[in-house]
Amino acid sequence: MASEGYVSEIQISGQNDAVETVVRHVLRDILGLSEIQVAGFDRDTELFGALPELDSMAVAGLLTEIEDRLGILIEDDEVDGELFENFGNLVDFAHAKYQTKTAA
Amino acid sequence: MRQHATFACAGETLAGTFDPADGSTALLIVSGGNEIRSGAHAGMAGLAADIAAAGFAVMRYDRRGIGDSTGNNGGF
Amino acid sequence: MIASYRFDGRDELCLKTGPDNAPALLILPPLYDEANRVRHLMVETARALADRGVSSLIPDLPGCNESLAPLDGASISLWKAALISCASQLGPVSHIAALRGGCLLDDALDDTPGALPRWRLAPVKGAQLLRTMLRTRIASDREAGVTSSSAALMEDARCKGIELAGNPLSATMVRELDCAVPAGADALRLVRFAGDPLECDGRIPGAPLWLRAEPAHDPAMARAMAGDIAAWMHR
Repeated sequence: MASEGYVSEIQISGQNDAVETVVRHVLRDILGLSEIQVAGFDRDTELFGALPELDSMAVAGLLTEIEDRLGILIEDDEVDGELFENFGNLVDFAHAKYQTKTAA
Repeated sequence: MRQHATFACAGETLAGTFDPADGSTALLIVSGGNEIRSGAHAGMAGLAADIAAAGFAVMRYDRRGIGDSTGNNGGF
Repeated sequence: MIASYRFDGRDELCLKTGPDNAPALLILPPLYDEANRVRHLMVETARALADRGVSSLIPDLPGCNESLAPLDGASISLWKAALISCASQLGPVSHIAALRGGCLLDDALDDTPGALPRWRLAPVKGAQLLRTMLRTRIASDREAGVTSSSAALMEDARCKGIELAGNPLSATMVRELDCAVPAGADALRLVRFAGDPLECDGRIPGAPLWLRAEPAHDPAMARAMAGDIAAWMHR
């Protein structure tokens, strides 16, 4: 129900990479982490397989939340093992989808 | 007929559900982790009904800090 | 207190808290798997409301939680009819508080559109809930070596129903859930979390516990929800 508002509100607040911030927040919410813990995620931080709370049900919820907060649509065939291998892959994907949307 | 009741535990009030049957052997289902007594997609509730239909009464409960019970969740 | 309401020939569980002689708040929990994750939060919120003199009702929807009704017999319209029965037997209901998919049912008691004052946290469209459940189905199909697509599964589901994440949905439920959006309302209080950047009528501390892998509790969030709801009801 939220759509693009998230990104523009974060941008207004002055944070550098709004899309990355949204992805961090979604992971924080799905995994139940604190701000400090999720701030410690870097490109190489392993996700699916390394985090037991990130099971296939949680991944399903994560994808829908990212869609909702970035106002994008993630197709079934875009979801593969690599996407959740690490934080960097997920952020790159979110950036690419968001750019395509705003370029359209 | 499925019955719900509360019972005392260490000063707290726990919620439980009983599926009655005639047999002299009954089953107590203990939910794992933080799951509530009805279970994921009401699986434990469904199992309880099936087992009671087979003649064995079933009891399920929410431990402290879980579901409908009071108290703090001390971990599983 | 453990109460029940009668619907479709069955007794359905309804938790009833707070003073007996007051109009009640109807609490509508999230749908499907999200309900389990916040059950304790909802019950603790109702207890905190009772401490503030507010009566609440938390009904089981037919097919959910302790209900003996088959889940694949349910639909959005059936659930709304059940809520009408609940309110007429255990009410009167003066206000509604809804979370997530519960917001899709919160117009059930309106005799004119938007009539009953409602409080909402994290409203969601039915299509978003379906999307998440379909994804779990696609993931488990993939593990079994089957490639499915949401489009194909949905087309089939609209005619024949579908089982998603262990939940059997009838064709009627699939169609109704896919179209369901929270209804417009005159007296609406929309609440968001403190860190959420979007506009709203009020903020509470907390986190979207319904997104977690297993049920969790947040006592501060339950207290804040109760405080916000009670203040809103007393206006």
